[in-house]
Amino acid sequence: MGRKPLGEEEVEHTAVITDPMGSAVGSGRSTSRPHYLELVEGPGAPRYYELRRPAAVVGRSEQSDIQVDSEGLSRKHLLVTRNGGEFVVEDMDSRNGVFLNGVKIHSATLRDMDTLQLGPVVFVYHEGD
Amino acid sequence: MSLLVKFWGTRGSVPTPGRRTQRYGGNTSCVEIRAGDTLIICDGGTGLRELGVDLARREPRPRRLHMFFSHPHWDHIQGFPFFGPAYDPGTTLFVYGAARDWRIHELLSGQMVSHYFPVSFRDLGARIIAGEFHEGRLAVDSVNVTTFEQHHPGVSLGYVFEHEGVRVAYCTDSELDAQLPDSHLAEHEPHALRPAPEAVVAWIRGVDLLIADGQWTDEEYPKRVGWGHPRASTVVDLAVRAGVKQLGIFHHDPHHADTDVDALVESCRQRARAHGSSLEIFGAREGMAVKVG
Repeated sequence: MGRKPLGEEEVEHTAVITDPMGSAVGSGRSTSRPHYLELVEGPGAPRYYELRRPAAVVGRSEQSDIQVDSEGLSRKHLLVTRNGGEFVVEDMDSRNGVFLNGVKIHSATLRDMDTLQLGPVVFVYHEGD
Repeated sequence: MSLLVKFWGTRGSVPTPGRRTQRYGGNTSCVEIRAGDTLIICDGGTGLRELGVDLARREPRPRRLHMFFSHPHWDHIQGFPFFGPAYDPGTTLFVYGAARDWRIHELLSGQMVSHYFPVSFRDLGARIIAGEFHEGRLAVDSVNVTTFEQHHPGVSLGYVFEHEGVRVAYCTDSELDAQLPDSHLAEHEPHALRPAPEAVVAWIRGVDLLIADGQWTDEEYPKRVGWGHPRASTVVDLAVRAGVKQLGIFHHDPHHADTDVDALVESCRQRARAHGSSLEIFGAREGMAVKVG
């Protein structure tokens, strides 16, 4: 499956997470490049999830901010929090763990093009401006 | 019960900020080890400042901090004057060294005189208490700590922290290659498993995680003999011989960009595999935490 960069033409494929202020995200009105997770492996891939909230949960549960319907994912698998201009990920005691670029971690600060593997589900982090 | 190990500074020698070192980080040596409520800090390089900021945000805020220094070279103490909890009267800092050995205290305080820094060591708000090893051993709450000398200009100390059977070794600034029983083997048969110093193998045998100085490639080392750091490949061989489960390559060379560290770590993995070992290897990265055990 081909991977396309996030842009205006991909908006309908982008799972939009609005921030608490409710600003439009992924509408193409912003000139700065957003921070986002790209789902590259797993149900629904490819798909883009913009990171605008101070915190977001990735998991199988419908209550998750980023829901991926995969048996290999825990209901609440990964917590993504914003720390200044950076994003930190933390394993929420998941069954299959979190692997950053192939290394099992408890938590980490994300950098551009980092790969996160949650069971059979894989994301790539893209750092914004 | 597991140990949580978090890397706050992984760079060797000198802070190296910038885009080329963004992923592994530019701050110098500082590692946090948590065993339940017990908080241990290995070295006070510039990563210590960020740890101090983070500690101030935690609820409840940790008030008893146990500091272990490998040695007092700049890249291992330079963060101390900028460590917020040291200014907090509610904090107790335990600083450990050999019995009646005040060098770490003197050298920490020595960098806080007016020519170097505007705040005097005696004006720090925290209670600073010297703790002592006896015959290389001590206990911090339920964590058993052993220490041993390593080959480095002026000597450095390695540490093993054990908590309920889980063991983490912190062994930075150690020129293993200078201690090899056959120093020529690495040059004449670079792919052969190198014999490791038996004493070092004994200290770290079977640890769950070895955090080790792996500053140089095989090509770089011959020009830096005596500088106090090893070939990363020699560290891999030590870990294989000692039956270590996981190896974190640490103290990255300031000349090494992220891509250089990636290549060095990958070469270490290939070497371990070539030796038939299942040793897991990663490059220690600023901001990363791993659970051990």
